[in-house]
Amino acid sequence: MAKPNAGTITLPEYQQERIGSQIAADETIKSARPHVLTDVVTNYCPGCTHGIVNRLVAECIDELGIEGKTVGIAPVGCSVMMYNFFNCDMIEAAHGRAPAVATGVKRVHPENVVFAYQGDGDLASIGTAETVHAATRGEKITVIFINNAIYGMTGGQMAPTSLPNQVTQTSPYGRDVSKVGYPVRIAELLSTLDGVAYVERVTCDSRKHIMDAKKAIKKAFQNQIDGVGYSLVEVVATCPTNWGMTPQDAFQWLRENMLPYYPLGVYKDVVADGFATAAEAALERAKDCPIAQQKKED
Amino acid sequence: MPVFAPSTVQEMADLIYDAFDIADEYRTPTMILADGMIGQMMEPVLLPPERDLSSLPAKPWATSGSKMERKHNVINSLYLSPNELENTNYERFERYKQIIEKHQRQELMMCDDAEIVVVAFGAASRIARTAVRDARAKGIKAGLLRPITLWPYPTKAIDELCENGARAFLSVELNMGQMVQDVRLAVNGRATVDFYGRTGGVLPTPEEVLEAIETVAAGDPVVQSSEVGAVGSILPHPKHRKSTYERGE
Ligand SMILES: Cc1ncc(C[n+]2csc(CCOP(=O)(O)OP(=O)(O)O)c2C)c(N)n1
Ligand code: SF4
Ligand SMILES: [Mg+2]
Repeated sequence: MAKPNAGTITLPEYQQERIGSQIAADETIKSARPHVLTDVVTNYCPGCTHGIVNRLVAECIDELGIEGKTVGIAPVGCSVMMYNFFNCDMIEAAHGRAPAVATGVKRVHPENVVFAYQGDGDLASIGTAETVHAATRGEKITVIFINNAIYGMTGGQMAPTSLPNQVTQTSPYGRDVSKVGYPVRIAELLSTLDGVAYVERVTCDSRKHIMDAKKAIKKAFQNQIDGVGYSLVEVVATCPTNWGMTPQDAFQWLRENMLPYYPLGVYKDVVADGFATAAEAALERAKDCPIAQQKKED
Repeated sequence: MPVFAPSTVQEMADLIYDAFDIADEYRTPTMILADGMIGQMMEPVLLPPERDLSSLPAKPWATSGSKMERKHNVINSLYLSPNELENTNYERFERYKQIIEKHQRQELMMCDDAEIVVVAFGAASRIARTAVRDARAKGIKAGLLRPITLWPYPTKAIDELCENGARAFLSVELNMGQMVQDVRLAVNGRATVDFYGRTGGVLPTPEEVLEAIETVAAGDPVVQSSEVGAVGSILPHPKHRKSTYERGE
């Protein structure tokens, strides 16, 4: 199965051109492009969290050796072209409908590993119904959720996840919660649903946090392989371009404002709670409800 | 998109199978357009026997995992290059052309020598069927064309009817005349095209439809649909608007 192609590699020509004399083309590089990533330049802005998370997802797919059975669903948003960045089968869903498409693929091909990758505008705005219902149905899919508190692709409009008083293109005086309400905390919201096996919120502002994020993403894939149930990883992310900051300042703003509002941590993990599946955990939670305890014979 | 209009519950069930097959063969959505009557009606249904699905078209495009044996498949609808999108559109219209060629479907009743052809689909066709029989009993050479596919529209059947001497078409519908333009396009000036319709769940009686057929047979238009441009000009004549059948309060 696929292995990350570490070792001595020759840099692709475009990299030789760009890196020039700093790194010789025949130098030994310890960390190379994961096999499941294609050899293209992405459309992400420099310093964007999407690039990091794409890479983490790819490393997890490589390490789990599942490229050949993985089907990814790209969202509408800055990661819409993800189907060009990945070597596994990919579908581009209509805006917000990735969980519905993932549901279809997974139900028809349960042996596949199916993941949806979605921004906050996609997952928590236009696709809220699909998100909540795929989760509560307990679809056995993996969802990677990039929460950068803004509509990145369309130029920085306010998202349901934009913070109170956050200035965006459509909230030039700051998000006024008395008029447009409060941000949605997706990890907390979904953790109350019985269909959900695992929800964790991570970020990518430091080396340690990136490694934590990778661990969470890998677990979300492993859960699917093990049939545990619906797993979602929320990545608190930056959009330096539309926040109007350098990547470093953006991460500083994230630490100061995003993380207090969107605390990192595990919001639900049925395996850590001692259950084999989300269904087992749901049964236990409803232990005082006789009708919910009835065994289904078929 | 292929649209199927059943006129019985049995046909509604049968068409599901055909719609799936066409969707599968051409990679297109298909639609079953039942109306309020057919959709709420109870009639006995015989489901077709289970069949062997091994001969369904191969799906080399499917995203079910590359198994590391082929290049990855991508399903998308985003084409940023105009040339690529134009080519995609041409490819799609090539497919639509094949569907138009191969999948027009209709039922004809008493059409061999028909001079006045009633065109009706769905529940309207059941009422029209009785009216056409009654018209024949009165010596009017009426026939019924029931489109089973609304797209592709049964233009070939209308061509044949025109060639065989049909001089007038009457579109009988349970709506505001949405099909009139389809009939007129297919007739293309070779015969007159009229409209009689009711909406909102009001069903015309066979007698009312018969009256419309007689009006057309006498050479009078039911409505001035030859001037149809706006939907407003094809409203049914006010005298028809009060039905003998009214829904109970
Ligand atoms: C049905 C539909 N509505 C609206 C749009 C316009 N649109 C494109 S991307 C986007 C929001 C993307 O925001 P997000 O999901 O947060 O992704 P990001 O770019 O921030 O990663 C919107 C509204 C669209 N493409 N389709
Ligand atoms: S606009 Fe924002 S989210 Fe989109 S690629 Fe650029 S930095 Fe990333
Ligand atoms: Mg966003």
